[in-house]
Amino acid sequence: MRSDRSICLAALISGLTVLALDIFSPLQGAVAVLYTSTVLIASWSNRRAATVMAGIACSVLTFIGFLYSHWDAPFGSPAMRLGVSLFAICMITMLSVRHRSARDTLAEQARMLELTHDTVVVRGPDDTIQYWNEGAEQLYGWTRAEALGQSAQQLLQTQATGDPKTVIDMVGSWSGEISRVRKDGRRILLESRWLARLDHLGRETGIFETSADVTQQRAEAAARRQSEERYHTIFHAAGLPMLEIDLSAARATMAQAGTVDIEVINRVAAKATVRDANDAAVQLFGVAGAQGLIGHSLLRFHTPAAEQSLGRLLRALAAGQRDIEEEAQFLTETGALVDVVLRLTLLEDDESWSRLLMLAVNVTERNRLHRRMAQAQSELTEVNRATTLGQVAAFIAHEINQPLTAITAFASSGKRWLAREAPDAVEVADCLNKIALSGTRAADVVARVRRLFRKGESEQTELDVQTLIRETAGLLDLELRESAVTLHLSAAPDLPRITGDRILLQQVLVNLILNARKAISQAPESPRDVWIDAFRQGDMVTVEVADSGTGLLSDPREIFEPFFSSRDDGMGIGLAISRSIVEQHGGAIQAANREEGGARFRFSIPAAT
Amino acid sequence: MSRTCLIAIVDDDPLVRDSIDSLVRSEGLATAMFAGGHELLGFGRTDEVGCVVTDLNMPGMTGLELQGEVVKRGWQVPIIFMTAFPTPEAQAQAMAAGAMRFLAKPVDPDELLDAIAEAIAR
Repeated sequence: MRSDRSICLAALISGLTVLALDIFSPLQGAVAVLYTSTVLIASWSNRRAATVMAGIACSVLTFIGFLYSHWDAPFGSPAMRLGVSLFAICMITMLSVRHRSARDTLAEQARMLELTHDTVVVRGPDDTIQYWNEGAEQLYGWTRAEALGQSAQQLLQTQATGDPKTVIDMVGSWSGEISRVRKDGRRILLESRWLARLDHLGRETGIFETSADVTQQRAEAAARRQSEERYHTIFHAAGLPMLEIDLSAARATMAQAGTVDIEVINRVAAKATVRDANDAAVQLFGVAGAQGLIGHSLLRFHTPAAEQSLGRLLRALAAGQRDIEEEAQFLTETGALVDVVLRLTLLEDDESWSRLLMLAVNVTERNRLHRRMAQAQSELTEVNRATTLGQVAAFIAHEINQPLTAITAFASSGKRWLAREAPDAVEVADCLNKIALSGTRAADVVARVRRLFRKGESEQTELDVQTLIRETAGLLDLELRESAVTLHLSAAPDLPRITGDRILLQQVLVNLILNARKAISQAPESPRDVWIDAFRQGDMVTVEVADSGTGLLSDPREIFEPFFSSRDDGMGIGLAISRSIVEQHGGAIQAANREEGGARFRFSIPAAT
Repeated sequence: MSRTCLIAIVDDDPLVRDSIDSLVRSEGLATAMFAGGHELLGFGRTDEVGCVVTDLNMPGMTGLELQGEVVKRGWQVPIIFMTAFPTPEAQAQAMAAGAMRFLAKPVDPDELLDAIAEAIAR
């Protein structure tokens, strides 16, 4: 402001001086030309309006001076001089204004250079640093004062691929990657553009360069590449079948459909394509090579079990899970059925589901062994039971047959003593006494057998009913899955514990569940569900096993009798044993048909006190 | 029953032993009772024994072992087996060693008496 005011004052003084010279000096000539200095002074103010105003004022003053000196004879040479003066003032004003705007642009550009985050450095023809912006200060670490005048090569130790100097000499510019050393001694990677500065004769006067630090970017890219290579190596070298699946199209289909039913699953499966597959996967599916899988969907290997698994996988993915495990079954190209455990992992932060890693562990052999073991186990149990029964039968036969033998023999001989010509009352009485004695002995045997079974191996502990149900369901998981039976478990909260023999009660549950499965398999058209529920009824805990099978065809009270069976292959003793176990625990068991179809078995055990 | 003929009854169970004894005596036959094989073998009047009725499973000496001992001693006497737990193996072994009859307990009294009558008729 202060300088503006002094410029104004200087311009005013200069203008008035020229006016005085014009009017009072004897000088004949274009004194008014001197007004140009007033315009120039005004232009220092850096204000366009001030310059223009000064120009106009000076023109007016010129005209006043002219009228004053040449009022009497205005035409001729004085008028010419007036014209020259006005022309000169006009030109100077215009030039000043234009110069002003050119300088504004330059100042703007210089400010921009300062502001940019990129580094801007100007080197002279002798490689000395002539310009060094704030970006350069931040990147390299040297301040402008430290850098200016230094040799760029000595300071920065530039290393470039190729020869930038030759390229610049030929085409005037170069761009590429260079490495330089910072003030802290660290070498950094830069992406750089160099431009030759030329003078008006086209001679090179130095180099203008901008650079950006790409060290971290390159390191990240290299790490990413390495990680990708490592993944690729593991993927292909792994002995486990691995596939990379693209579910992006499938995802769109699913989003459109809204729900996940069988029809949607099949449409989705058709759009789920294999991006990559390793050798183990090729072997698993029995195809000739990876090309037999890549680009195709896995739909042609599907079984009904696989559809169910896929449905669960898709629902889990849609629910936002990123790591999912499911068992599935596929039909391979060679027609073999394979059981696999699928593990699906969403790679990276892939919201479009375009890259999913699918690990398919072949568990066919494991399941087969499992099945065989379960079968062997049940055979063994059967043998054990038969052996135990045989032993018990032998014991009973021997212990009962002894008194029976005595009874029949005594009865027969008693008859004979009576039938004699002289009946022997003493012998008959002895026979009858001994018969009574033998009867008592037989009753003792029965009581002993009962006692044996009541104590036996039975081990009473406090049990959590829910755990008991879960464990038993776990034992039968594979068998139920094979028959495609779905088990629904539920239980009332805060169920009291019960006291009982875990193994025996488990036996009851196994009997009931397997009965339910049998009833379902005899009704192929019906749904395949088994429900197990547990709830409290007074002082008792009741467990209910319900099924969607054929239902009971006979009197529900009869079916618990030994050797009663409505099944062709039934032992007929399972329900009888179940009843005796439940009653041994102080409980009761009953059966009924469900209104919705199927049967319902309930047994109650007293809650632990 | 012109000549003296004893029916030897071998069983470790006193009730069974007594019942067979009573049955045989009711038919007018004389009996001798033994709680086991050793007792029979130590009996002083073995030459009077016309038939042996023995249990199969007994502590100390089984019926089959008793039979083996009888055969070994060259004692020509018919043996009738009774058992509460008949197995085909035991039956085959007894019959092969010359047993007269192999009866399952509970024994039919008439069948037993018939067998004894047949034995002493020899």
